[in-house]
Amino acid sequence: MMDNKEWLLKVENLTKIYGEHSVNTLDKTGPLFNSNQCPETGAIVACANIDFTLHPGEVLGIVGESGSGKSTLVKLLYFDLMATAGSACLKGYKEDNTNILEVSNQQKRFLRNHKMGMVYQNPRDGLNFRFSSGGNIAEKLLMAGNFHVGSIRERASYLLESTEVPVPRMDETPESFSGGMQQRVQISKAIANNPPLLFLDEVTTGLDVSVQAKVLDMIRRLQQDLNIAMIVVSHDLSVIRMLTDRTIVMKNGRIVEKGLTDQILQDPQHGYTQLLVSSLL
Amino acid sequence: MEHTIEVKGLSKRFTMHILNDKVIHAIQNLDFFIKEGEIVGLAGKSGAGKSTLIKCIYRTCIPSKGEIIYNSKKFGKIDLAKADDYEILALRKSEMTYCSQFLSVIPRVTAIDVVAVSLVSKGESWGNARQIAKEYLSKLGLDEELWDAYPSTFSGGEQQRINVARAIISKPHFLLIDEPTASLDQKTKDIVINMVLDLKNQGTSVLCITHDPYTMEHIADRVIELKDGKIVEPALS
Repeated sequence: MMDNKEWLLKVENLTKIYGEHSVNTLDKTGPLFNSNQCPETGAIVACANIDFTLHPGEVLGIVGESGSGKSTLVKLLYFDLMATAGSACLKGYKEDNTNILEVSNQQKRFLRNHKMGMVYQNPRDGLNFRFSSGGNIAEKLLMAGNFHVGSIRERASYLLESTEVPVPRMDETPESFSGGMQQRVQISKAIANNPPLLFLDEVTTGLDVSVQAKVLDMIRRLQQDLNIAMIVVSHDLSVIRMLTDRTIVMKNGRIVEKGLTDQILQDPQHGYTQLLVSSLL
Repeated sequence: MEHTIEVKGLSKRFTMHILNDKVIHAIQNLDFFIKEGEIVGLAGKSGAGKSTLIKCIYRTCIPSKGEIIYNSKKFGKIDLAKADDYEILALRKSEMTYCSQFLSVIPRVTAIDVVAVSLVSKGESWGNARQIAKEYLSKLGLDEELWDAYPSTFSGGEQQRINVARAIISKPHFLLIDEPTASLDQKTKDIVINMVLDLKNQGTSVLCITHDPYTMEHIADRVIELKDGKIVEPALS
């Protein structure tokens, strides 16, 4: 009927288990048992059987309580963690159906440097605090194969300007910046290589509301102007409402519900989502 | 004439798992249609199911039963009750808009940009979109001083105008509109009514909820009344 075969990222059966697990581990954990821990072996199921598709330019939200597996999910896709099982395919990489979770480390670095960006909750995870802010952005550009010093500096100041970080301060280390500024430097770095795919893990958590609004506004503009596809992880439903078109709800490492964001918020189907939405201030 | 929308046997019940699976039957077994270029008014007391019906069509709510056959300009006939999320998003972007009762906006986005973004997402440039947004806001009588301000601090009537502008600026093929004139003065009411009639004359089909008899009389070609989630059949005269 309609052409919606267009996709950027396809994730199937993505699973991460810590510790020794048995054949029953997956059957005895999850929302039904309200637990991630296998009663037989004690293994922790961080996330399991995760399936979803992301379209180019789409913003997908992932919500859930602490420990629901939402951060694990993006860390697996950004190769910060090794998956126990499952696959992820990125359109335009090799034959489209190559499982990027199983390629060599050198290929994973290539993917990170050319196809992805990541913004962590803690700027210290995404930035090198020994380098200047400009230097942090330069690092990402160098990794992506850009070696011209003049153009690197130009791109760095352009990015800092568009994320409203004062350009004259680009030679300072992020140490002397406020939390909101550090976060915006981190975003500048993450998008420096024009990635088609950006992961945002609790990026506004811990920021005060005015700074939070600034960061959200910036993310929204990036998406509109550059058409970057994003996966936004947050436990904050208002962040999800503002940024995303579709949302996945996770609990105990599983997806309990997915749908249009306005539907998730106004007509939640799963008991857990209903509890989440009805607890909203 | 073709039907833009044909609703068959539509029901929606809400099951509240956190309240011991309490079930609320919001709408039950509705059948009706809207012709191309027709404005159908939706009347009924609060709680009769009007907003739920509109939300089922827009798919903010998932229908429990029935069909919503929409005749899309781009994609042909499609059952909105069963369409997948991407199909719904594509329709919302290109031809079906919803003007809700209350404005919900992103902080730090100006009034103009809130309205202009509807066109930008359809492929218009920001420059052109802002120009057209200004025309709409000016027609709706929103004080020019407010155009560059953030709507979260606006009065109810000012927010309502932005909400209306945002929903109609893209000249949708199908418009769902919930109480468009509720907090407006008589003059602005007339402007909104005329803008919707203008759209109708260009072929837009409209489903409009209103409690205001004046708006209903001037806007609707036909009125459907809901009572306890069911359509009230007009009395034979």
